[in-house]
Amino acid sequence: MIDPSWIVGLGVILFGIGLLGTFYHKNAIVVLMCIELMLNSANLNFVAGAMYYGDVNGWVFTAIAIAIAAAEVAIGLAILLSMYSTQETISLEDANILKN
Amino acid sequence: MEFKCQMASGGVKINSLNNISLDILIPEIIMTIGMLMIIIIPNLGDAKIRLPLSKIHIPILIGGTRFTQVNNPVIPSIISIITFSLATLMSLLMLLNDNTGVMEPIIEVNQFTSLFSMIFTFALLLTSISSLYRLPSQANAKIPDDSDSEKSLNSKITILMNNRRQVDFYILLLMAGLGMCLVAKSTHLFMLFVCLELASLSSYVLVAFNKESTIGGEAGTKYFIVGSVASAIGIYGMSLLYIWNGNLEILSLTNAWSQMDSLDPFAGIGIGLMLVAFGFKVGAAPFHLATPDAYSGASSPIAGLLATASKAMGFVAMMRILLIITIPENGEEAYWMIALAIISVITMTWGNFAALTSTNPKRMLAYSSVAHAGYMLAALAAIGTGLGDDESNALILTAVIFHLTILVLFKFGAFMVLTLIENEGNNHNMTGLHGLARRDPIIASSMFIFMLSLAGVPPLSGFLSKLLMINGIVNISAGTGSMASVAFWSWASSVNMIFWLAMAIVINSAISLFYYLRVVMIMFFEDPITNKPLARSLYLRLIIIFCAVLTLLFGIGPLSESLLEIVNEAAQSFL
Amino acid sequence: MGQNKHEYPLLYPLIPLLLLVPLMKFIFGMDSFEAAFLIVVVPLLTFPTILIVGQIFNKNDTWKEKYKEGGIIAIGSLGISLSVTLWILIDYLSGTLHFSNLTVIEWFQWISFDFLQSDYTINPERRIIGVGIWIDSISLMILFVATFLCFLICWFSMGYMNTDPINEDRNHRFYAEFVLFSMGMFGMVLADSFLWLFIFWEIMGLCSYLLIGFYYWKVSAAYAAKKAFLTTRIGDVFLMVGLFILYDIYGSLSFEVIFEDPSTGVAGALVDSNQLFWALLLLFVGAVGKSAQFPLHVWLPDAMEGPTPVSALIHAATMVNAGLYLVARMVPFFDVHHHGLAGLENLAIIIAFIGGITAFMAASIAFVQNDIKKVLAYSTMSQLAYIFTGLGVALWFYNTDHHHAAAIAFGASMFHLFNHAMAKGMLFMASGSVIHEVHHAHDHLHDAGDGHDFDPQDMRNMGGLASKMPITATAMMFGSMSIIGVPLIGGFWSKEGIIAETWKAALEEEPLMFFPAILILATAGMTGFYMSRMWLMTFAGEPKSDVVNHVHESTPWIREPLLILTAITALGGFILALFGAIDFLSNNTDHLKMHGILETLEHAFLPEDLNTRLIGWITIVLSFIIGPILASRVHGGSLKDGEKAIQPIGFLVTLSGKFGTQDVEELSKSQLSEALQNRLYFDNMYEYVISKTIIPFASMLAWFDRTIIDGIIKQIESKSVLGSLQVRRVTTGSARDYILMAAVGMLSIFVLIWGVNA
Repeated sequence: MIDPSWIVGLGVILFGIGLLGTFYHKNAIVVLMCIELMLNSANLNFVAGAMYYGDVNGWVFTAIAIAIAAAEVAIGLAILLSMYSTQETISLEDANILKN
Repeated sequence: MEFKCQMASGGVKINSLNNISLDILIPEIIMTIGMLMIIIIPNLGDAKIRLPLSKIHIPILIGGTRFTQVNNPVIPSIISIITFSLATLMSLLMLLNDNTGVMEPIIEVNQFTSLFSMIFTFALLLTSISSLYRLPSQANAKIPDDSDSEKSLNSKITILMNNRRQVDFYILLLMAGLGMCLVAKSTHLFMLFVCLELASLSSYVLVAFNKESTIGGEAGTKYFIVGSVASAIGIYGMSLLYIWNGNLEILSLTNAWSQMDSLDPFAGIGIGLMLVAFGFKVGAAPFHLATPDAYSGASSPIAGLLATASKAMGFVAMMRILLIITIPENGEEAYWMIALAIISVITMTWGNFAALTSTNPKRMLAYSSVAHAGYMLAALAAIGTGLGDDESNALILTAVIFHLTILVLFKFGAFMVLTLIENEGNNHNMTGLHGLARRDPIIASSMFIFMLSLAGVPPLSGFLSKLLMINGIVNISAGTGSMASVAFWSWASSVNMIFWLAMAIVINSAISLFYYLRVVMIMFFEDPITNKPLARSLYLRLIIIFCAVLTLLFGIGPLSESLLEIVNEAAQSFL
Repeated sequence: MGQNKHEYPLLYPLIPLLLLVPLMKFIFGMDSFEAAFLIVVVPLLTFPTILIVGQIFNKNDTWKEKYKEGGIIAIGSLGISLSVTLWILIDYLSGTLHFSNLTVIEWFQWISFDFLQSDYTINPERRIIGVGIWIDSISLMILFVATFLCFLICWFSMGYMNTDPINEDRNHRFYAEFVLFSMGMFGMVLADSFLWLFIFWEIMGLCSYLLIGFYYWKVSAAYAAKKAFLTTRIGDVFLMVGLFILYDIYGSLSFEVIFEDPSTGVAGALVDSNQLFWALLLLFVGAVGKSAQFPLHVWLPDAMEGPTPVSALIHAATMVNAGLYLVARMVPFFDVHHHGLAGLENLAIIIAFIGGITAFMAASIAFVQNDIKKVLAYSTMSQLAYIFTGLGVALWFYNTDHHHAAAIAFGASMFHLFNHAMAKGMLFMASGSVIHEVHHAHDHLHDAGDGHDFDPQDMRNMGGLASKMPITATAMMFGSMSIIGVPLIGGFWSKEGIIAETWKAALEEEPLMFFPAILILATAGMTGFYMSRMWLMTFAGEPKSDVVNHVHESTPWIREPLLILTAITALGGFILALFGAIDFLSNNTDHLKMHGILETLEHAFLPEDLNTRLIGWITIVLSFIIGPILASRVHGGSLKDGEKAIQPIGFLVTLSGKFGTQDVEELSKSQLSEALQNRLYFDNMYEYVISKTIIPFASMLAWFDRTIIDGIIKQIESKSVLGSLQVRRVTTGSARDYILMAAVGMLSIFVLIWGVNA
């Protein structure tokens, strides 16, 4: 079995990539994917914790977190679609009518 | 650090629901029932189902041609208003009856939670009432046909769309309410986070609800993206806490924290990341940047909801983290104190300065709510100094909770006035407010009261809460300065930095008067662009006046004292 | 004018208010003093009501006809105040309620606060400033005068204000301010602490400004309002400092605390009489400003620019009595018999001196005034000065432990206040009636636009009105007789008492008292002259302008209060004197009623002491005989042939004609006359001093304010606006930047946490 610290290490890397990606990319879909990466890194941590402590709660957290992530994506895509229908862009850079 | 893999060997303790009395969750149950009603009632119809192999038609009531009684599109809003009224009432009763109860390990109900569920449900009640006019529905809407001109076609389509999405809107409101109330009650970090997500996801959709308008979708997108990043950061922080402790119950985390010798990196980073998530919810700088955009793109009732209930929810979560889990016991300084103090100063200054020249009233109010968050964070930072005894900590917490409570009255009141003006189609600049005093003196005077209360002018309740906060901070910092010599500088450098937070609040309040009074000046001294009176909107008007009167009554006199007493008890029960 | 008769039914809706007191007494079983708060609260609530309702229904006909633009509401609320006052008064006189000298009702706590001791620790006992009511014989008497006269003057106003086209559409302001003014006076008299006394005192100051400047478009009226406000304000500043010192001494401003034992201050410390002397002196300066005594008297004559009801209100019912009330309140400090402080005689002498000087000065200026209201104004000053002298003497007697003499002097002063208020209220109404009718007659003769220069207040345009306005002439005759001090009529009893007691003090104890004693004795004769002169110039002789021939008797709203006050002046004073008012008012209750009657009569006509008796008769001769005869020599004259006036004024006019007319041209050209015309140059002097001292200083301050302070503020403003724009620029509108900022914020949180804790 893999040592849980490896899993945590992988999570940190994923989280870093995700966070950097959120403000590096313009395309909202890609940003959404980066957010998924961050959420999944949290899931990895939960799994690692569950393995380390032998605690079943960790697995439950993971399952629920995945559900949350799914809901988030569903809502996110719907909102992006409504923006696209009026502004015809999903670039976070270009959609800036509201500012200052 | 080394991990050991240990699979679960013993049985996991699972609480059975048998011995739990559900009466502590009455507001939530009411909201759930309301949600079901909203789904079921508008769909009641004469649909029948044929029993297989026979000719017997059994009515199943759902679907088919709808009954005329439930055909009215205003029904969801009425159900929602009734639901929130009942929930508010029940929360109030629970608060007054000191109902307490525990549902191990995730739910705890005491005065604090009852007070906050009252705040949330009342704010949502106000949202429902103002949406009655902001998102109008129309019975017997016409179906467009080819003979219509383009203009009437558009208006008919708008009416149909509005009618169609009534249910969605109010279901989302009820979801948000459910999430918020459970956030206040949860004693388990993961539970707290799930409920926070429930409320947040609903509010993202609510912000983007006006999807025909250009800015609606954009505001929703920004709010959603930044909010999701924040909550992803938060959930990652939480997972770190889980790795650190193996248990996310707040009690267990508190114990683990107090037994910790030096700051564990997992714990420290975890808490720090969670602060980011909740900082976004309360609108603390520099995580607040999306809020002005969201407020100005959303409709005013929703903006009011974000500025009051959503912010209060963020503060509840933050208080659980800061004041329960990580507060040191023996008068030491909490490790987050300096960070929070600096954030609070930046937040209030940023908010006030940005509001100074805002020309959009909703943005102005958004920045003002950022500034108010700064004041409250400063008060929380004062508790973190560890200098105060239990009583003075409770006093500061009282001030914060009191502020969150009355904020629903006057901040939402201001947004409700903006709703009235927005219904005329003008929501991007101050011109809608021009000469309001001449067009509608009563609404203008209510707005006047709201603005003065936001600025903290006596004898309004905004003044009382601010006074209590400053008083609490100064009380805590009193006596820390060295009085050995008369020289000012030696005293100034030795006094606890928290004292300067009080000074910052005072200076910021002085600055803030400028833009609040500018609204007043515009209302009373500018010429109105039109002389038409405002729309009648009876219930909205009544509730605006009600809020204005309560703003005054909670500022001075016996009512304010009894509210303070209740809030103080709630604060005691929290700590 | 007869056609106004039908206006009285307007008052019928107010009749149920008469049931208020019986209702409270018999149904709710309240005690009279429990209802006392209504005296203040009802007018206080009426003020916004009239203002708001009047603003809404401004041009409405019903509002004008049925409600007299708020007059009916105002008179209703003042009626409630009056009826409650009468209830308390009856209870007090009949002794059914035991006010043991005073009654204090604590309403509610207003402010309560901790305070620091000199060693910067917090005193354990909290200081509480309450709101309450204090009633004793002094306040009850002045309260009765105030409520009664305010009620009558309000009645009078409905005849005077509402018929004047110049007041079109703004009478509701008049009534609102009127009611607020009355409320100020009632509140001041009922206040249970010097603090609340001061607050109501200031409300009166504000209302006097508003009402004197009611015709604000007239430059002179605006100037007069400003002058009245600023002059009384000078006194108020001193008063305020005096209150600070009092607070320092006693640790409270509540009457209950202070008068409990004026000789012990806060925490049982003995009070230094020197410190108290300064506190009371400053209070007295405030009273001097309010009651228009030398040297702060300059505002009172100018205050005549306001409408006549306002003059009546200020001079009889409210404002000037406030100063007297304040000085009368000082008695417990002086009363060495009951815990008073010895060593305050000098202050008493100062008060008497100021009174004497003002009495003489005002009377001499009144000699040459031609404006009917100005004569009355100076007469007010002079009569108030009598009261101040009397109070000064009373305080002196109290302080030197002559308790009996003090009680008589004090009672005489209070009684004079009563008599003067009634007579002066009536005189102003009568003069208002004259002015009103002359003005109407003038409008009748000349169109508004023909530029005919005419002053309806100038007595040189009148004369011979006795036959045209018999009721007014009779009323004014009785009023003048009361002010002059004709034996058996109101003012005689009290004025005689003041003069006799002053001389007694001078002859027996204190030579310094000779100065005010001589002055007020001389003034008695002068009063006889100028009051007779005013009456004769107005009513006797042949008409001096054609306008006079078209004058009629007044409208009923004006007539009734006039008649009521005439009756009180002529008979009420006499009856009250017989009932021993002087004893009663000074709270000298150790006499039986019969004893009081005998003492009063004996005191007035046959004192045991030869000197006092001599002085008494000299006063009577001077004021009753010599003054009026001299006036008749100059201004007397019969009516035009063929016109007759009713008795007894017809007789008086004819009698004055017998003395013939003396040429006064030469006299009026003397330097003294010129000086008197210019009011002894007081105004010029003040203006010169102010222009040399205050104005340069003020302009320096203005420069400082404009350049330095405003400059700094402007700098802050422009810098903040720049900063604001910068801050707002950070909100770029791009969600990427927001996330970036959040990430930066996250990192800085870590830096702060680890940096601090490492």
